[in-house]
Amino acid sequence: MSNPDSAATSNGDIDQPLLVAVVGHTNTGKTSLIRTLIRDEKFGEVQDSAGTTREVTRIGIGTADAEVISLYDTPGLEDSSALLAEIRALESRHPQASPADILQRFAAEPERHPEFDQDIKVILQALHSDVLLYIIDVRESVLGKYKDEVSILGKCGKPIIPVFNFISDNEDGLVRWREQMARFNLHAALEFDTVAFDFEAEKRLYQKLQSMQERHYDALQSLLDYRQGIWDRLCQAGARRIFKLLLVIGTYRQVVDEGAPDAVERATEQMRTFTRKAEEKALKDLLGIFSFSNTDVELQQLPVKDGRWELDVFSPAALKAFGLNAGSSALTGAAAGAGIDLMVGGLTLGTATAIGAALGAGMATARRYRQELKALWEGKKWACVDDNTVALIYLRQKNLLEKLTHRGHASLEKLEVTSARKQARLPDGWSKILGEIRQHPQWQAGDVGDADFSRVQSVVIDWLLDAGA
Amino acid sequence: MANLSFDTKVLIEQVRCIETQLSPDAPPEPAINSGFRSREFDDRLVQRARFLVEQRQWGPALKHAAGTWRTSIVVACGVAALFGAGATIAAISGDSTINIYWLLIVLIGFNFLSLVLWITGFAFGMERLSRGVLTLGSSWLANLVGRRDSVTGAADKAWMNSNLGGRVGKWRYSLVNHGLWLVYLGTGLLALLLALTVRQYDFVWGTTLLSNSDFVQLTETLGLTLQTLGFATPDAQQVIETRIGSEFSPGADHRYRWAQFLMGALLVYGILPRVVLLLVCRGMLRAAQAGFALDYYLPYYMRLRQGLMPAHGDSIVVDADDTGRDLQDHGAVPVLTHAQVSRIPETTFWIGVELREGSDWPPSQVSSERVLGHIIDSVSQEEVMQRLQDNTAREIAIAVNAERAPDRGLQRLVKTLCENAELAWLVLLEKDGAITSDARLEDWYRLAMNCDIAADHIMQSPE
Repeated sequence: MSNPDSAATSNGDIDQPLLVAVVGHTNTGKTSLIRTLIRDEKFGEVQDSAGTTREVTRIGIGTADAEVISLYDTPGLEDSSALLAEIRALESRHPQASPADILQRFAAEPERHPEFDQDIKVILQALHSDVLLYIIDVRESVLGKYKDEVSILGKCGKPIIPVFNFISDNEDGLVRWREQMARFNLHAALEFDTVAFDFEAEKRLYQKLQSMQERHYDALQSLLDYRQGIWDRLCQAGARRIFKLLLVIGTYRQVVDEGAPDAVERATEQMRTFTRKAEEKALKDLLGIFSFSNTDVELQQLPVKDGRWELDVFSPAALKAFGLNAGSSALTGAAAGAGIDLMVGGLTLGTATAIGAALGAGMATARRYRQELKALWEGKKWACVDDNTVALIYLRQKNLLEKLTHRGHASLEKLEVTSARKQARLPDGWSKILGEIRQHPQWQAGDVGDADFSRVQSVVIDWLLDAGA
Repeated sequence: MANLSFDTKVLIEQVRCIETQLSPDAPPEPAINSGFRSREFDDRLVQRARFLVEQRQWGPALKHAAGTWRTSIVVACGVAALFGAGATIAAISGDSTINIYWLLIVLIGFNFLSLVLWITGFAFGMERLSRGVLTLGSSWLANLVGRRDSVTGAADKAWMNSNLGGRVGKWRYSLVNHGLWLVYLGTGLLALLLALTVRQYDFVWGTTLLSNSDFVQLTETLGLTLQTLGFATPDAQQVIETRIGSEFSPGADHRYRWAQFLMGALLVYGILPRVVLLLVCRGMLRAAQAGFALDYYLPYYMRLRQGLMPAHGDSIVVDADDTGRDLQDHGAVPVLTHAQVSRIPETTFWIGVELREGSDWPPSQVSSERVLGHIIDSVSQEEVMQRLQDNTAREIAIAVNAERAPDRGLQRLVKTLCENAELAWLVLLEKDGAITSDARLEDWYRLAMNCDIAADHIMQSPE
């Protein structure tokens, strides 16, 4: 990306990026916010102390073609009351000067005020920027020093966008601060929660910047479109990966060697290992697609740990968590998740829950009628993954995708396991689609130009990406 | 992706398969971090792929499958040629009589059948059929090669998936199919031509089930197109005279016409359709190759995109911290043993500083006349200072929220308060259930040190 001259404001030159300074009291999450915006946890240093950021750092955000925004991370303001007192003293000595000039004057002699060297850096950067993002921790009371901060920043003569941070479960604080900012005539504010990545919040930031800076409207729009494109692609890729997982699991078949003594148990075990591995692989891919680090996983409260699902897919707890009926075949531990599939001439005749239900029970019954069935169909017996398990996998993958795309609710408190998930429902037409998937094991290879494949894929992707369902 | 050629896309796919094969668990590294020649993702992918191929010397592996394919085509052509010539020779050797329609069946019959099958396959989308009868055996080849676990195996697999699978594969197989038939018929025709040139044949035809007029009709129908193209064809009389068992002895004109008929039929009903279809398939193959698209939604490509197309530039320090000051430079950090929780005397005056709403303030066990106030801004600070001086307080206890990160302003305030009293306590109010981290405690201890508050005068108090 191009490197503009950062010292000058981009006054009328639309090719220069928009200069945005991120300012605020120390420890309000400025660096975290930037990190969330650029989706890079390696940026800057974040510690839970005052005075962590001690320098001004610039980072460019843009499209593939050009840098659109130059974002500046600044040290936190720490002693605004004393600073404001000094500035007022200076103002009284130069009554004719404009507020911005006073600040310039103050900043021009840093050796006079060694205790304010960090604050001077902030002032200088603010004076050289187009827009200031003022970060507020809404958990704080409206103290005098914060009001002083806003006064000082106001003197720079730049548009200020207050950004309310740590809003989760802090409604009162939010209301309080909104009122306070309104008194400073700052009405256009943003809410952010730097705990979790939120594309919608990012969009709103760019839109706010657009409304404040007409000259950069088009450039910001191209950035918005570019980021939206990336975002859509991420969601699509995630949904497709999940669809592929469903294909792989739905079409899995393991022939049951009936001569062996514990053939069915062994086939079941193989099936389970296969299923777990497939889910893990998909999980890895999904986390990779969304660039979720371990920290993100924790922050977003994903039900995974160290690359594995916390709940084993074959445990009854997993089924219950999604309100699925642990049907007859899934209740008993040994048979959990296993379906029996009869295949004749390459066509499947359905899984254990279908046949089992017809026969009145799961595997035990199937075993009882085995000889009759064998005689009847003269087909081969295969172990497959039963409908319940595939449904569970679909539901929990969808839940995962919602969290990855932050379309579910992210809060700082641990989600109750039963709460949101109980509402999970299998979409209409699920059985039919599952049936089609089972009939087409060749779809695992990917899109081979088959019209049915495309249709089924787009149906499932719509289900996965639909926030409402 | 329109600007990438088909072969380039195959190259990228091959690199993908190789990388996935060699390290199935690791995400793909960008490999190149700078020096990109283009801003487009496609171009960067290509640049990266070519870089890797050169660096790891995968060149021979990449070309392996294509080479094998070419060789097998050549071999197949050879076989087809042999069959073509052989079939013709078999059909016309022996005595110097050629059974015309038998020869036609041998040469064009199967060809025609194959053509019908191919067209049916295409019309109804039956992939197996449309691959052509001759090329049916090649699908097992794919399975065979794909099993080798190596760089070459992976490259082969990718090449075959791209070139022999999907739409591209369909047309490629059809192309080969038509091509082989063309070779068969071509060599057949050539052999026929050769034979007719240097040997003398009598043409006959015979039938057990059909009649004379049937054959006359047949010859006329077939001959229609031939005549328009300038081939001489036998007329009705000549057809009848050529039947086996007729006493008529054929003349040069007879033979000539039948020969022309034969070769014309071969050309027009055998070779020509195949040539047309061959050209059509070639065009369709090109179109399919142009329409070939890499699936950029695959996790592999998504990760590469993140690596090759960073959404942001590198962070650059613009105004460095040149004070040389360091968070840790306030002398030795006091040892963080929990101070003895000595009770604060009742004569102490309490001051709250910047407490959050919901804090335990004023503290319940302290009587209200001992509470000097809560400082939240300059006004309240003035008030508290005033009361401090009015009460000539000796000992003060300063209450703060433990979870707050102490900053310079707070430190200045606390220092000012301490200067107006003889002895000061620092009370860190902790929220219910919250544990103050060591780092945070260290910050408060440092503040206390700077304000001359003794370490054993710091208290943590759950609210």
